[in-house]
Amino acid sequence: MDLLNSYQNNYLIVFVFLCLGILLPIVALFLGKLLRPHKPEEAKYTTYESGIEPFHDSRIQFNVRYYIFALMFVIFDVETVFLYPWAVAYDKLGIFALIEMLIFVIMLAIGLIYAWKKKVLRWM
Amino acid sequence: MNSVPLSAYLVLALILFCIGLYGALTKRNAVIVLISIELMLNAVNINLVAFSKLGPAPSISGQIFSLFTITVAAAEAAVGLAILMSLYNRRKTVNVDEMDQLKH
Amino acid sequence: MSLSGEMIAFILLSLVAIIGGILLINLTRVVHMVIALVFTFISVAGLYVLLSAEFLAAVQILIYSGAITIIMLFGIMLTRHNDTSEKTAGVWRKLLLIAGIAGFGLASYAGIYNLDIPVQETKLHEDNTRQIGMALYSDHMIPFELTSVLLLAALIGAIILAKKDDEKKEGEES
Repeated sequence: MDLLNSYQNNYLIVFVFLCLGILLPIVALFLGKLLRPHKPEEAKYTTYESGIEPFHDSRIQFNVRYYIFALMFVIFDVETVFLYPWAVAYDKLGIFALIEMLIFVIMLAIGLIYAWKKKVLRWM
Repeated sequence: MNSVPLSAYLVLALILFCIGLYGALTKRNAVIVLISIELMLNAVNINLVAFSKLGPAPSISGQIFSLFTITVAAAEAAVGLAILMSLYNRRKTVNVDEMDQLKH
Repeated sequence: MSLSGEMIAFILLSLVAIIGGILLINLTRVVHMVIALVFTFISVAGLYVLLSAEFLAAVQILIYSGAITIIMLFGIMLTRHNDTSEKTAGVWRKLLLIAGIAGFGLASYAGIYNLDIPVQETKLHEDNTRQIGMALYSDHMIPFELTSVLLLAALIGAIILAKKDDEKKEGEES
């Protein structure tokens, strides 16, 4: 039972960090708002496009190609999640778990090779 | 000693599930419908983890179940959005009540 | 009921989770809804820590508030629409829905409100990740391998769907 208490008390530090992380930007932005001069102008509110005159809205539709990169990030993120407990428990699991994990990684590598062959990994 | 009872976690999961169900049934934007479904899956995960610690037979299996649920949720979101984008390119809409035809 | 630290943490986290869910229902801009749900996901991770599932808390933050939120935002940016999700569902339909969901909620609540299971001591919080690894790669081996097949199918299926649109659009442009 003592272990459970010390486990939970460890997370108090996480909580303190979380509070600091939330408070710091709020306080910084609020102080900045108090201190800076406030002189609104028409030109300040236009979309910034590297100095040239803006000619359309800042929200444009992105190319579908970018979605594939996000998708592959998600899939390999999930793979990492499964790799982690395997690596932690590896010394108790031995060679059989290594083979299991190899099958898992090869399965996902097939997906990566498929994406490569379909030429969706090209940026342009 | 252990102050938070099991039923508190179950009630919280029930509330989140109801919010997700309401969102999935009333919202018109398909992305929001998908993310409401994620919220419902999350509520189910809370139940699984709560039973894995406070249930009649506590064991690690509940946590492993929810690990699989999270994986399936990620795959579901990926494929769901790909279908949505394909549909959007044909019909130019993301509103679920306009997606009422099987042909294109 | 004494107000221990665990209870306070539970109340705070569940409040944040429910407020995030309610904001999801009530906000009008789609991007704001997704951001509101990130708060729910993070506080659910905090609840996992209370339930001695450290590894799942990390996974929750990594996958839900990291990956799934990101691809939802991509989905919003890629499908251009009028940016607000106006509600046109009729009042009667909405009332009926609320009544139905409330009925479901009450029925479930009647089943769980005085559920009394004697609490047993667990060892879940000691070396949580190692315990998950031991159980996952010995008892739950087949579901684990099936997961890889599922992920492969999701990856290839989504690539085929997205790629077809891309080709079609290029064909139209040229």
